[in-house]
Amino acid sequence: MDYWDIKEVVREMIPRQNVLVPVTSEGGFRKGRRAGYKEYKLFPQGWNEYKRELGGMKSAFEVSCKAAGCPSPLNLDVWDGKVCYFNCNYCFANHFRSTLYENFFDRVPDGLRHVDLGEFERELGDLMSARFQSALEKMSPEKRAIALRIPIRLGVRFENFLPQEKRDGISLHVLRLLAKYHYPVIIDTKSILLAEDEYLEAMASNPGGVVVQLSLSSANPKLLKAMEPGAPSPAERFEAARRLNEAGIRAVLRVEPFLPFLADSRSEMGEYASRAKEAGVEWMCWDSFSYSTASAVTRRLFQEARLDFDRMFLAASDSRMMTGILLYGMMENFRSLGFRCSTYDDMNSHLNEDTLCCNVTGALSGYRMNYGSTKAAEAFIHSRQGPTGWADYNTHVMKNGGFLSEELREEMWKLWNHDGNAAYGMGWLSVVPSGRDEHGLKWAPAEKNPNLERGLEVIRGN
Amino acid sequence: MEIDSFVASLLRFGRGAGGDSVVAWEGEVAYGLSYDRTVLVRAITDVVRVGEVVFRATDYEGSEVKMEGDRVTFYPGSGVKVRVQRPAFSWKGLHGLYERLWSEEGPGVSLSRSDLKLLDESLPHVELVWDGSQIKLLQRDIYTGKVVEILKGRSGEARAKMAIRTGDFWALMGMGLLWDIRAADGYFCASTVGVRAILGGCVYDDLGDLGVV
Repeated sequence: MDYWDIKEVVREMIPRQNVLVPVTSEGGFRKGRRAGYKEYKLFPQGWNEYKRELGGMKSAFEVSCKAAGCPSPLNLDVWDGKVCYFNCNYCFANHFRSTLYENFFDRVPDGLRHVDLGEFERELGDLMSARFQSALEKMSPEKRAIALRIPIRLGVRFENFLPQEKRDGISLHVLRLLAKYHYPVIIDTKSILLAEDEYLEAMASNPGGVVVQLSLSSANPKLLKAMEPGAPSPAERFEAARRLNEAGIRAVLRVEPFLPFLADSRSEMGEYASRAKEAGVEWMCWDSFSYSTASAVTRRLFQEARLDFDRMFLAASDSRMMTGILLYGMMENFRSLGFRCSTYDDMNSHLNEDTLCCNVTGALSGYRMNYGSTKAAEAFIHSRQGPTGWADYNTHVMKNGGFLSEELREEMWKLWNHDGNAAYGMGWLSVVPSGRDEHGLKWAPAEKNPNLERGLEVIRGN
Repeated sequence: MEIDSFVASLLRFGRGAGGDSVVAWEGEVAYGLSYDRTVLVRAITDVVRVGEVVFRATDYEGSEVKMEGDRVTFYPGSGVKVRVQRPAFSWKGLHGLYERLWSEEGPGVSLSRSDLKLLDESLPHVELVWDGSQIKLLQRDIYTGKVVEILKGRSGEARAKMAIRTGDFWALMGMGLLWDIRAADGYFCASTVGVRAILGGCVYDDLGDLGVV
């Protein structure tokens, strides 16, 4: 059963919407003010003005709030802004920032800011001092991550290689600093700036290794122009991937978001695969449409581009079952064409061809993963023959440097016991409950992911 | 229908995202176009309005309202004025859309709120199938794979299936207890006492763009 067999069934379950007239945007003013406004919060003493003046960036580093699900959660963003000029209509950050940073960016003409390099160097030096230490208990989560040599990920929260970067060279300087520390780096980007000589040299000089994940959901320039109007074209991104690979920097193509019905035809994906091959790409990352991006604004932007947001979103995000089986089908298709595929999606992560879902095997040196995460727990349970309890897993994590924070340990314990955020629970992975002990559930490895198998049974009509 | 109720009802269509829903009112007829342009509702109002007024449903501040050029002013009372911009639609434009799409032809069915009691509001669509001897309302649970089928006996001609969003179905039922619903070419025409609605249908194909009827 290949992807298009699966889609034949899915298309009969999730229909396409007809509109009466095209959805268009209108200018003009609306009720309410967006500039110079004041916001108040109610305290027991009365209303207090609430200011969101951010000032300088306090830290460019952050352990992701989704660390419980992520094996490489150490984020670094040296650029930040209200608006990214790539202007992707599915970006969760633009809409979030436009409200959060309103006051701050009232005073910043181009809407972008970056770290102060002097302060950044001091912070990086302090963090890097943790590399050879073993007493992690009193360290911040970020320092623990450095001590454990978890790769630094640039670009999870903002694009660090916009045209302003070419002018100012902030990220370039940061890449050179990280090379001095021999620290492994993963970069998420849509920019082609990294294919320029000075960036290639900065990355190639890092003995810890650098992997560049070039985000590219489709090879269709017309579709991407509608969805990512300011980003480089597919042709430019394929060419950047070729230059990176030729320079010995692994370019991973990142199909995130994967877009069923919008970018999944046999001919289009065939073209994607052949152009990726021409660019020397071997590794690919896949993931679904971010659930948290499903705001009315995002939906409207898709509709203004005459794209059926609801059909895509229901298939590629809202229904975990549909998302899992569609991703499975498309990744199997690309695997059959010789690509090595990995995903963050829990229903498919047991099939990953990489220890992290970021596709870094063989490209980074001396790195470790966040063992205190559900995916690491899944791998640990599979490495054992019998049922695994929390105590065994906890010992395993402690032997590997421990959890990145006490909060993360508590979150993981909840997820282990079917509590906490259900979207990231152990129950989505290729493990099954196999008993209880004094710490809660015990888990055993499943030969196949039970959720994926159930989804495929639905598709088969059983 | 009171214009207050009409505006409130309109905001329930199109998955409840009200930001750009448009109301156009003149004489005793008000039109409402949903935020996502999938539903056009036409209602007979209890008050006859002299002169056209067009506004966004979310701007609504009461039935005391005037329009001058591209500005709409509401007078909610106590001397307060709320001035907003008129959306780029006109009563004539929406009336023309209604005239073009409204159809009394085609296979139809009468449905009441009680027919919908078995529907699951959390599922996104309801599929309607006329097969000559019965009307079938079908919901596919895209989260678990289950299927809900409601059969209702009737006579009529065979018809290809078309779906409607569950939320729109309920919004429709909020405006009247009993509706006659007919399938047209890519959309539905629905009528009850004093209210008519045209709803974009949902079709089963391979494409990902929005179809325009």
